[in-house]
Amino acid sequence: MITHVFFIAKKEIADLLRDKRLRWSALTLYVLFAVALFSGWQYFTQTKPRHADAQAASYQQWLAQGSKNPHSAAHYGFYAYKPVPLLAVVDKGMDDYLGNAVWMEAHKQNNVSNRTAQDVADVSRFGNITVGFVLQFLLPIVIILLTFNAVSKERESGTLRILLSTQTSGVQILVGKGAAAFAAVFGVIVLPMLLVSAGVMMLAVGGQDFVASLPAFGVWVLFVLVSVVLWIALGLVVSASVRESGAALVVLLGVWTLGAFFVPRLSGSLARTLHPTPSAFAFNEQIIFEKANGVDGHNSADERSKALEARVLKQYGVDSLSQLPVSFAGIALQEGEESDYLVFDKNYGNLFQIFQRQESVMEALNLLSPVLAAQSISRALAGTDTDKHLHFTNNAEQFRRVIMKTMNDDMRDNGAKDKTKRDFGYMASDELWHKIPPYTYSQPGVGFVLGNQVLNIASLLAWTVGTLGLLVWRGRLLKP
Amino acid sequence: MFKHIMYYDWLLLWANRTLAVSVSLLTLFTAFALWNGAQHVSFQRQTLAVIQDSSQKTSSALQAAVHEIEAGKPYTGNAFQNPQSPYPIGANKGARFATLAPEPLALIAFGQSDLLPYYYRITMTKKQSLYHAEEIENAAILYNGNFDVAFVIVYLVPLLIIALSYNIVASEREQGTLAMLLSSNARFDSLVLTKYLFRFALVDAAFSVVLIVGLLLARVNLVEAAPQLGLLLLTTLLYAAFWFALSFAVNSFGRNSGFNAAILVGAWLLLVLIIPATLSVLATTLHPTPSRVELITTTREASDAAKKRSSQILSKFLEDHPELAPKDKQVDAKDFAVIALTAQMDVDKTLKPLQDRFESQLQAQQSLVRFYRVLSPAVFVQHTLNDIAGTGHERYATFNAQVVRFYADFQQFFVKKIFRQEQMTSADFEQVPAFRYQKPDAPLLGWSNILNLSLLLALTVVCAGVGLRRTARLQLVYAVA
Repeated sequence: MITHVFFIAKKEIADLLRDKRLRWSALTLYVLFAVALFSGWQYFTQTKPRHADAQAASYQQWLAQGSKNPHSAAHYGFYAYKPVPLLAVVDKGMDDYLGNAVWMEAHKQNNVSNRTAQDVADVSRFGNITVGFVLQFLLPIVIILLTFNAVSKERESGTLRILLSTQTSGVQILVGKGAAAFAAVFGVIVLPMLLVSAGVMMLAVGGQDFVASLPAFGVWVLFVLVSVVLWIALGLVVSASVRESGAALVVLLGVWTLGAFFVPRLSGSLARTLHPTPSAFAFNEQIIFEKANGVDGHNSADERSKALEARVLKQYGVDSLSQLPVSFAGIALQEGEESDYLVFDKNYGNLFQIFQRQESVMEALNLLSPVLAAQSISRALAGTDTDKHLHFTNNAEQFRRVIMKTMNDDMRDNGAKDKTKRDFGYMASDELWHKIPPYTYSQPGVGFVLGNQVLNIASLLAWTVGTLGLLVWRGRLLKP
Repeated sequence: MFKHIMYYDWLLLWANRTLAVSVSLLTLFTAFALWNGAQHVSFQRQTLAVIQDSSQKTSSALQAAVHEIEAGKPYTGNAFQNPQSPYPIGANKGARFATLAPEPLALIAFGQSDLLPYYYRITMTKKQSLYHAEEIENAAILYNGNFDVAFVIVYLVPLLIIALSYNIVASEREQGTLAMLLSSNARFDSLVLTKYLFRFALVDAAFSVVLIVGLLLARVNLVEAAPQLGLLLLTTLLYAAFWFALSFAVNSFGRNSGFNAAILVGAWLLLVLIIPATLSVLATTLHPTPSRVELITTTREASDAAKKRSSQILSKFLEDHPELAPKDKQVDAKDFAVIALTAQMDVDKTLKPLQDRFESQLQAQQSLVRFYRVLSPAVFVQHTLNDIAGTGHERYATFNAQVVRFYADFQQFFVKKIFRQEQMTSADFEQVPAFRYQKPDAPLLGWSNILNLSLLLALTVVCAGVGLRRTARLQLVYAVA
């Protein structure tokens, strides 16, 4: 049995390598791959040092504040810049539409803002070419062109009858053809592209950082291969099921177009309508309101500060704020921050929940097409998707809270030592600024990504297993 | 004879349900697109209404508070919040909003309207915040793009046209009717042309009717928006004609229907995706905009520097603007508001070259795209549709330029007050500049859109010409080959 498959595959590979379709489509794909890789490489090598430099500059500005009240320093704050992951070279994903920087300042959890997309020509709304796009969106078209008449041409020329009259079964014919198509596509297109991409990534960061990204890249490659297998199987199934070659081609291109162009816009628009995103204005107004009136709306900032005053006086057993051994301003500021945390956690929590609900709608519709699930998995592994962005957002906010607490605690402890320069009159020195370490962000590992992508992975695997099942079924039914 | 062809073509299309399916799909897509666009536009209108309402309330509350103080009720609150003091008003409490309302046909093309800010909160400090303003939106939705009428026109209509026409010549051969047609008296090229024209007329008429009915249902005032609607229908007509002509040209080469379909879908992919994406890479590589990240670092450096030498800046400033000094006293160089404001103006000045570079580079990118968009009708049809909807790059660029000018006016108002140590009176609140978007004089059908449409027409004529010439040359040999 294996020998039959082997012989068919051998003959098919020889055919495919002679086929003009493979030559021309591979050539076109290579041109686009070159554009994609160049633009990915350029994006990475320009943005990464830019963000790293800005991060260092922001920290230097923080350290060089000189003598200052800790709360002024807290207002000054510093910026966190989202580092660009190495795999952005192959899949920039949604990076252009996600913010890059967040200001960590007193009293405010700011949005991670500054989208690159606002500063590029509107033609970019038509889409971007990335290596991931070439392998997940454009390669399927090449596969379609190679497979749509794989069975029907044998039928049309009458060779299928001859083949089936030998010892070869329909399943063996399809598997042999599939294996040949895989070998040709993999050897001529996928493998060289992956090797070149890996080489460029290694050149961009050096061996050590490249090795650190290898697990994610390895899994990424695995999913590229899964989608190649899937499209070959799909091409053969349709070719075996539809009588005319032309009709098979139209069906396959239809399936592809649906997934590549139709569903994404449909799902995005539906997601927004079903779970509307608030306007920035409404979002900020709500936060301002809740900060003033408490999360429940019944606990005004005034009342809270009076209650705090009474509590602190009681705790230290004194009658007036001026008798306190500590700075009341420091305590009150930290108390204020902490009650604001509730407001931020609630409002940003709601917002991110809206985003997640929108993503669920989109993920559900991704089931309609295997290209979309593959695309989501790809950008998640590359670290250029929303989940990673929210991970960064939360990480930066936790860091902001540490800065604020350090500043307020210092004010509490030292802001009452000199009675003539209490509270806001107290000046801290460089030593305090150095207590805050530089901000660093490390990307979550592959486990985090796969955990978030369960639905997409399930959908891609279901498509693959289902199509392979259909392939065997069509093989059994194969008639001349 | 043409009547016969059309009649039988009609019967054919009717019988195999191609037409019914196409028109139903088109109706469905357009309906969904209009509904989606209408939702978006009404969301923007509501947001702007809330903003206007809230800023009016704030302004009248401040005015009322000042009025009370003027009537003799002493102010007891925090000095930094005193409504009579111009600094807190100009820097925060009396912020004005600069807004850009959607145009009547905004619902047909989202354009850049989901990405670029359509309102800014203007205060006299922090011009840089204008460059960091953005609307909240899920990046995945922005990335995917929108299902709007422009999407239906630019992407889906061509696919339907391909589905309706990819085998007009090839099917005659595949069914064996071609030999008969070629040997008859009727000219085969006019027969094919008639079939194309007939299908084109059907598709365009159906789409126009669906569009007009849809817009009426969406409560768009079509009388008011008549010029836009006219241009919309004309653009759609020419774009559909182009795709039919292209399909005609491809068909005339006499290959089989599968090959035709593959070539046409390939052309579609080239025009809607590969050319635009390559253009985008080219534009950003040749004219990179400065990074916003760079803007942040530079702003901080400039602010820190300005704070350190604020007294120097102030005396220089007063030399340049003697009119701002109070008549009978000195400017109070220790006054917090004066220091903060001079520092801010210095920062604005330092940042100006960098901010100008954002605009000039983006403009350069846009010009490059404008120039090379001749390569893809999809790109320039999208641009024309954005212009019709008022959601294109140009309108937002005009808006932003006006916002920057408005910021200067707004700041100037408070600079005078603060330097002359005047207080805000209740009458002053009506004098604070308010933003009003000034529509540029440029006509809707400007030269660039005329050029686009003429180009589309030229491409159509060329394709149709190739189609006619080659069909006329089709020989009987081909039919039986």
